[in-house]
Amino acid sequence: MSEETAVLALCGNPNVGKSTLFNALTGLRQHTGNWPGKTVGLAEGECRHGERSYRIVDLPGTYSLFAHSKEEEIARDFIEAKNADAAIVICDATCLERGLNLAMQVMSRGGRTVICVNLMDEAEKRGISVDIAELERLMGVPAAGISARGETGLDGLFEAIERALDTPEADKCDNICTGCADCPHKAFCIAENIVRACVEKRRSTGDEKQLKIDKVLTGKYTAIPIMLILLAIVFYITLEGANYPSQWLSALLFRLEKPIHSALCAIGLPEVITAAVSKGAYRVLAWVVSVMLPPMAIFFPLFTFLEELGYLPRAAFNMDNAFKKSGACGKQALTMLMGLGCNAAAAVGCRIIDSPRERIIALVTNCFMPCNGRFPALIAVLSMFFAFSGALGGIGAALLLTGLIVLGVLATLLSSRLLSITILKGQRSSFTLELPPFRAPRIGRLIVRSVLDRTLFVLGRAAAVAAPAGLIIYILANVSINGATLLSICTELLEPVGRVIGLDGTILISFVLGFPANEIVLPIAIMAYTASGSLESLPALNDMRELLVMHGWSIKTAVCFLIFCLMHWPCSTTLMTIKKETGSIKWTLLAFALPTVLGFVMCLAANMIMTAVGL
Amino acid sequence: MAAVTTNLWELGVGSSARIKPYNASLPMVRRLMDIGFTEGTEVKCVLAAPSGEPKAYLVRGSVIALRREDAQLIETAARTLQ
Repeated sequence: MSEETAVLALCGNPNVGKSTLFNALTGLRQHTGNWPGKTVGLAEGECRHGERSYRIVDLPGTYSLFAHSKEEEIARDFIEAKNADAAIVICDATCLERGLNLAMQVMSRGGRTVICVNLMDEAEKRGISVDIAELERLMGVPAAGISARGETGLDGLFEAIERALDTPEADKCDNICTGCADCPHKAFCIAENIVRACVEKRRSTGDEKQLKIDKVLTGKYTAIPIMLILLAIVFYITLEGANYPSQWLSALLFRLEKPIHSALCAIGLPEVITAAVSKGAYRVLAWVVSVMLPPMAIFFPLFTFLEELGYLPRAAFNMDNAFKKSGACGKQALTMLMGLGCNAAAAVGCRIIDSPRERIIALVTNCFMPCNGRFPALIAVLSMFFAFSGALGGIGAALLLTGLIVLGVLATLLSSRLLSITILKGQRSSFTLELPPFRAPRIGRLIVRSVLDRTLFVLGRAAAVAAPAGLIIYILANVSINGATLLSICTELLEPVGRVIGLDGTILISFVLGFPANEIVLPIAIMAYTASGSLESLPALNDMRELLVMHGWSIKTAVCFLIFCLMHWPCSTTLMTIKKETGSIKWTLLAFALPTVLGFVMCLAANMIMTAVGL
Repeated sequence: MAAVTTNLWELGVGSSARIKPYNASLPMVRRLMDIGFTEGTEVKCVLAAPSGEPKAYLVRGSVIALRREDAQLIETAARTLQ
């Protein structure tokens, strides 16, 4: 069975729908596989068609096999190592020449190649039709036309793949691409002739409307306001939408605490353990789930919507000059925005940056973007201490959150500049950024994928950390040495440091314990403040505010908390990813130290200024 | 209608030009070639960022943004309009 499984490599230019095809073919049967040569994980999945079964490997998007960036290196090495039985080169029907250039490079490496022309439906709408049979004849390898989004033409693709697999593997390319693969001038000339022969362009409309929208999105006076408004809208919807589900979930989960406690008692566990599990582990877990799940389930689909629409490259285009002046790559704007979702995922995303120097800058400054795990704490503190009343409350909080993001962007630019004139000096590298056409996202699929791929993944990781952390804090709060609990010993130790930067020992210890996942910082702080066990359920926002004020919180504390939440060490997952991506302890330590030092300095400054003006 | 040599960066938004023959010695130029900025290709400048840089160019059906230094690497034969 398994020896009959053919391995297919998907390669193609960025933005040609490679991942869409991969998802259409493999559905949810995907995982990350390791391949010889490089210690990098590539997405792979299984699929069956007719009698045959296939293993499909999704290679990073690339313009050529002459590796310019790390991603292209991965793709090239995979093709050259002949890991696959056939390479499927996915081309965009609306700009076929560039795809054929890559196809010729792949063909010149030998092996079996299939040309798959995607976006046939989009081309049709724009008055372009592609003669696949003619293309196949001219290129000399099997070809198929598909629409990966509409999942049409897949049978034809499999038929082309089968024809390719039934032919013996070509040793070296002896067809059209001989001698041209190394010279794009020639390759594009050939591609141009082929396109002229098999593509019919009836009219060139549709582009005008896109251009008009782009002119507004990148306009001199409109670009930045639109970016900020979009961000604020996303936050507003997230805040308002998450409010009620959070309360409802919290009420539901906390009603379960007593039954769990009784159940544990019933199976004969001693009171010490049952209390630790229900009041420690379970309580923090329940908090994290009820506070995190609703905002994430709303934010991730909204963010994915903007991503699929094609807005993010426009945002990067608008911000590029600021990054250029900071000595960084324009694509850092993209990885920075990815950080809003998850800093660890963004660290992997930094592979799109070609120059190693600029990639390290992007990696170590990424955590200035608060990830989804930090939103709930930011939102909670914003609404507690800076709340506006009534219907305006949500809008006010959304605007303040947007302001915090702007602060994060400034910190990113400032520290990038600092790095590029000190320890990461070097030549400015080149930069190309494609602005793909806008594509209407398919809402249903988008929700399913963003919930499955992102929300559940991040929530699962947070929950896995929350329960043990809850247990630890409960133990710290209930084990005493000489009459003082371990927790109070720890907080007193950190108290002086915390005070100087406008926080307190409890908040600092919460950030320390929140190292595995930032989501649990605020819950841990609440747990620590209420360690006496007087609280039977987790408090509503109003009661929470009272509790914090009772423990010495003021506007000053809230401001410093927000700053520190924005600027402190990255979570353990992010640091491990940075270690993996850079292969260097030095850069990982820098990624830890840079935001931490900046956070301390900023909090110290904010505290001093606010004290001086008498807040 | 004389043709003068200029480069991609000098193209104003909305105007187009044809790329002059060149050799790919720099890695960046090689990259631009792979994207489709090859000799003889018609290129149109379609957008500029709020600060005037980068600019975006329509080449072979796709829109690619370039910074000043990179766009200056590619010489074009601008058609001077009357």
